[in-house]
Amino acid sequence: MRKSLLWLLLAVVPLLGGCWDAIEIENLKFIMVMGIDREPSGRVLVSLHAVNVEQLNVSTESSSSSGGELPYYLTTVRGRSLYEAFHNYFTRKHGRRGHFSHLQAIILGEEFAKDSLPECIDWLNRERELSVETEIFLARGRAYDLMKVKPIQERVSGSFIEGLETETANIGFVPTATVPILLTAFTTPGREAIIPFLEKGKLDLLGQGEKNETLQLGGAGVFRGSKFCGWLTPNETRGYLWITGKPRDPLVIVGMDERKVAFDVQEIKRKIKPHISGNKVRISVEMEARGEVAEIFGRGPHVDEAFFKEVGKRAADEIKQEIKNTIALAQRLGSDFIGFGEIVRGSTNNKKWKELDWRTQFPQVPVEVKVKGLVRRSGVAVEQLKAW
Amino acid sequence: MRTLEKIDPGQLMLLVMFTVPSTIQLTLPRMLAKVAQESGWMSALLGSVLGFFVLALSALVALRLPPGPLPTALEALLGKFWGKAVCLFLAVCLFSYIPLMHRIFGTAINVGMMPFTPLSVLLIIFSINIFLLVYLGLETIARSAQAFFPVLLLFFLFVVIGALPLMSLQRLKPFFGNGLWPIIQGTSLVTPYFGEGVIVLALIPSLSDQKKAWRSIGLASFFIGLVFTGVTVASLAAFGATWTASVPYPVLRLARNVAIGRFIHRFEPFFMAVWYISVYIKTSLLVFLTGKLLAAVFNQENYRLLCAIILILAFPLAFLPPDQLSVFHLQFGFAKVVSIVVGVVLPLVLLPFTFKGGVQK
Repeated sequence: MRKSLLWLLLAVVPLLGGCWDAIEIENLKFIMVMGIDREPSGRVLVSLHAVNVEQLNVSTESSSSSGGELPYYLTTVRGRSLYEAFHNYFTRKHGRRGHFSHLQAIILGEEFAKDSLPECIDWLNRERELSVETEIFLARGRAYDLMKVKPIQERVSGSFIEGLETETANIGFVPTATVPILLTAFTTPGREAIIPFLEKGKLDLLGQGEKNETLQLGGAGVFRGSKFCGWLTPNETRGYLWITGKPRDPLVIVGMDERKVAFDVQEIKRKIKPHISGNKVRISVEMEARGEVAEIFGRGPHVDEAFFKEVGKRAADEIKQEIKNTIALAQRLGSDFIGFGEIVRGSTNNKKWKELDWRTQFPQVPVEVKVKGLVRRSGVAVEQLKAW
Repeated sequence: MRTLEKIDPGQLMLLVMFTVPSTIQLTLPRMLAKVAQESGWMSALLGSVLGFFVLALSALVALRLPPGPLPTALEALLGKFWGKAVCLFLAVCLFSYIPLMHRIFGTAINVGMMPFTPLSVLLIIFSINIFLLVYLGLETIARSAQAFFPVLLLFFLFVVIGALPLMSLQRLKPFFGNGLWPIIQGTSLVTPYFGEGVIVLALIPSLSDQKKAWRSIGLASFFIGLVFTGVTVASLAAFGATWTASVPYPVLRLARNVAIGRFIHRFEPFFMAVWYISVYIKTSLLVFLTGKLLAAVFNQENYRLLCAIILILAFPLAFLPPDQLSVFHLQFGFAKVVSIVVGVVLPLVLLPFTFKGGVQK
């Protein structure tokens, strides 16, 4: 029995390689950035930054001396659906399978975003290879046009866009929209999706023509259900992030007579409370921003405790105004991307939630905003230096 | 099953812990989110509390049975014919889980990690692994459970703690959003599976220290409840009810979304390994117990041959469900009914006899 068992086990060895799911690395074409547009014919245009592996290890210097070939190239495929485009047509064109595990950014064209978010969401939910860190962006205009831009700041476009998003989100001007964040926002009752948008920008490099062109983040686009409904400027986006997000290092510039004081917000505490009476909802937002003085620009009187107190107060007014502007815009667009509805729903039950008819009621809901600002530290200097 | 292999109370706890959750563990948050939405985790909690009583019923019967292996004890209690009949019935019920567990394993691996590997190959490898463990007997199965447990615990904690940043308590609200009824309905997806703990009927007689049986059963129920509630809370708090209800294996998706910084991603192989170990031990135990019971019914000395036959029979049966949704229906329909029959009805039928016959120590 033991011998036959041993033979049986040996016979199984060839099956243990898991060969069916093995994919050889040389047969893959890594995709770093993907742009999705809707063509007038209704077909989907997928633009892809595919990695040019041979150029990936070439140093920047030798690359520029040999004509500056980038480690990626732009290619486009069309299809009746997203999956058909890159699964069938990409493979037929490139002889390799497109691989998405290193995909760093997905850019949705404006036309596509207007009515095709659900199709995109379905693909995002089903695609096995996608990383949870893949960032989603909207394009102002066509995604393809943005994909044509070759930013000179970094050789790899995906790393550039990813870094751009991380740092801009840190200073509080764009929200983060990774795949899980977007899918959660799309499916949570009382919350709408908000996605940062990319646009073309100028680097102000004198006399360098095409090299001047770059990509920048211009704020965010918001949705109502699955329909795109409007753009937010960076300041309006920051108004949203004050209430909901965790900007790591936002800066508020406060006017103090002749001087401008940079108030670096380091800690945010907030409380959002819904008050429901009958079928009417009122919301109160309380927030406290604590931070330090990063710069005092301009001359003025002695810096003392009263000065810090005043800086805190004025910073709070500034933040409050940004929050109010964003709430007003959200109500005007009828899109609760801030997620007040989610909090209201959490404090009631589903029957009551249906009665509240949140999407209809939201534009008229009174929101009271209270902000407190506190300068906790002077930074590394207290007084302004003065000439003797 | 005429001779007894010995296991200790800790091993009993682990064997019950491996057996009960693995049928539904991966899919449970999805089903609870469909029935009770955000309150699904309360169903898991309440269902687990009630589940303890289901498990306790089997344990009570097992502790009141006459001494000796289960077939001998049943024959002493019910007479030769009815003793064998109950053994056969129990063996058939336990056997019915085996092809289902094969298919649940194969489908989860195909859907979660290896879409192109043929199901038949996965099942052949699975069956051979099981046969190896079953061949070595109950003590080896119990020791394997002990050996794998620290790894399992480590991976499980890794995934749950790693998923903490994804979670938001807001997504678990409103508590009792649809009232109590959906929560109670949800418990019907949890409590019956504790009936699979009927294996204690065969395990408790092998226990080296029977005084500690209740402690083992209590601890096992506690940990099973923790697993059911933990994975449901984590899935609902990370994805919300709608998204959780849309994916076949929310726990695997949760593991996939866990990332430490930007350099360690995709923990699903870890979680798959954890789950595989529990399915492997459970199925091995079921095959072993079925083989032993059938050997006793048909007066066979060599239970191993019967185990091989059981595995060969289970292989084609595992292909009966045509698709993944049929597998879910079997998990939450057929398996539930069998669990109730074998884990609630059978012990309730046996219980009066154990009192009538008195406790024999």
